[in-house]
Amino acid sequence: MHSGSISHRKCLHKPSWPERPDNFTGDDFLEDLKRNLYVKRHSLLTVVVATGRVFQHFCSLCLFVQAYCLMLQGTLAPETVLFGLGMLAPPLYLAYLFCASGSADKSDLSPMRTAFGHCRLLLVLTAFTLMWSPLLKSLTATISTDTIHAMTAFFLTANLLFHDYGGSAAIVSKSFSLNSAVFAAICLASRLPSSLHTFTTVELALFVFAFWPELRRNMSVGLHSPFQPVLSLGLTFLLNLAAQCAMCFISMPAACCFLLLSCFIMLICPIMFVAMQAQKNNIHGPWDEAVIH
Amino acid sequence: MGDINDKDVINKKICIAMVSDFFFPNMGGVETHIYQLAQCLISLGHRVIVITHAYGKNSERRGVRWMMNGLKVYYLPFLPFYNQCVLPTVLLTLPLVRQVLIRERVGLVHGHSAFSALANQTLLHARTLGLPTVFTDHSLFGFADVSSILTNKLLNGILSDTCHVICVSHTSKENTALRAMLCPSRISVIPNAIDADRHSDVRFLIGGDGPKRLVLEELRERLGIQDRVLLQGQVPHHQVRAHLVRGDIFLNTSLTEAFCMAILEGASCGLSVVSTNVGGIPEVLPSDLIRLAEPDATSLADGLEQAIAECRQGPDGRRQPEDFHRLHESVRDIYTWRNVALRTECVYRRVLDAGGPEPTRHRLANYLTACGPVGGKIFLIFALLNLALVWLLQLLQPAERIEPGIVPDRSKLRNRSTPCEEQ
Repeated sequence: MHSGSISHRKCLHKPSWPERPDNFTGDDFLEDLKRNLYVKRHSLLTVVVATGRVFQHFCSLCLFVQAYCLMLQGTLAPETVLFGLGMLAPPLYLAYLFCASGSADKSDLSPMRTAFGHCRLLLVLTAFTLMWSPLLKSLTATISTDTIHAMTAFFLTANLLFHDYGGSAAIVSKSFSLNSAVFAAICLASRLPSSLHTFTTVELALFVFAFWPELRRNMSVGLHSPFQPVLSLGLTFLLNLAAQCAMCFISMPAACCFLLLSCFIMLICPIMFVAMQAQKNNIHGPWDEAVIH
Repeated sequence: MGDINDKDVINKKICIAMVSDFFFPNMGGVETHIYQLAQCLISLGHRVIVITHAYGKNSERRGVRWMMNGLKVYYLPFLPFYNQCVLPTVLLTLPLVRQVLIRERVGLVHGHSAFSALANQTLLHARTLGLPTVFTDHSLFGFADVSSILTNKLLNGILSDTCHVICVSHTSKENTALRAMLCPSRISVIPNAIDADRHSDVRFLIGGDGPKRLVLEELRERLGIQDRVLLQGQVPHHQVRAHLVRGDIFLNTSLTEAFCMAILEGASCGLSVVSTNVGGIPEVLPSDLIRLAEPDATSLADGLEQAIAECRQGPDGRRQPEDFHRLHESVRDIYTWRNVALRTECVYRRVLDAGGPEPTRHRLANYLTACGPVGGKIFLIFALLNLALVWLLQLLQPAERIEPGIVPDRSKLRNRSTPCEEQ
């Protein structure tokens, strides 16, 4: 450039034209460009724990469907399921109360009042389900089995998609995910032989899709322990093991597929995610809209 | 800029079509830019037409209108559907735009604003018809969200086939080069200008409407300086100067700005300017004429306090007429529309001198190399469809049968002086 005397600093007010062409590009071009200013990089452990949260819900959902399959086969009696629920629920509820007392979003109510409210809700729900189970059983009885299976798959997928895994995405809707799961349960219940089966299926659905996610959420929020990731991973492993065993009872090829799927979700996906973080390329510069602090 | 030989320029008259969705009666920076640039180019001896879409409730303003000094405006009967932009149908605007371009014997098409769908489409049509194109980008854009990714890809496709690009500031040039993946030598920086002497002709939209205005109003309330800081919002253009000179300080709180004519207008009226340090704003005024603050309430308040303190040093606690005059004098000659027109003309000549129309094969191949593996093919398909449509239109309405438009005889036009001729 013949105009060495003109400063290369970005300014418009000094008349540089026509000595310097307007399309001149100085050394200062893009000097304020910054890359990946606010990019958060995640370690493999955090990604695996977060994936575990999704996988826990997936395994719970599998366990629910497996219980239905086993009841349909006749291998599993509804009384056994109800007995299991009765045994599991009180200690898990105590754990829930314990975690809730440690979590930040404490309600104004005392633990006793909260527990009383929950018990009343449980009684009302149980009584209503018991009362309506003959009707619920025949509600979707006239629909063909294929349609029932398709609808169940559709609504359980919706449950998986809209479930609250602890992130803040626009797609998350607790009420929609719970409703779609309960509807899927009612669809399935019509294929089972007795009203007791229907009652069991709906109760199990309420346990798996309403109470169990709340307990897991409270455990991740309320437990302030350095071992929290380990606990979360342990729970994921236990649930996975249970679902894997149940799958073996139903069909061996399905069990193999499930094992492969578990490996893919819990190992390959997090590794891919962590490896692909290197590809993050976010550019910032003076053209960004300023944020008022 | 005395060393430009005006005779040389007039010898090479071109007909330039300015295209944008944004034009009078709409108000804003782009509209002002197009109007002033067109007037100055006319006074430099070129013929200029403006192509925009129909305006008005029942699109009463459509068809051809003549503006001052024989500026011909085509209000094409396309309806705006979002934000004053026409529906981006890509191909459907071609028949009418082709008619206008051939009828007016247009030699160069100049599109304005990346938001304008009409400008983007017309640039494609002009290239299909073998005309050189120039594009002016008036705004800044981010990179982080989905909408900007899509818009930037679109800009990438349009600009990869545009001969030259003009940006209003260096920041805007960097932004456009990154967004459209262009070689920076294809981008010229030509700042906006203001009409420092004849405010009654200029349409101003002072920054300060919308959500940002609320922030500023809160700040003003909190500091209790309502009598010192004037908030204009949208002021009728002939009253802008009257509003500005009533104040002492001009406060601009934009969060992003490619050039910012508002601070220039403030400074030109002799006001002490306090502004957020964002986008291209620090490039506009020399540092002794502007106080730059970080874009937050405390920093802006500090800048404002300093400006107030400076004002209070005057004998009656206000800035003196000499101060206003001195500032006006120092700003008035920096940014003139005539300068903008001369520099833009340089770009036009550069584009026209680059040789005849590029072979179509090269144009099409360029999409594939410049726009990526997926986007390139999509743009290529549209370019091919456009070519096919031009071929079909040539059969239905041969270019030879489109009668040329009337060219006004400049000597017979009522000789109204323009801002350019005054200097």
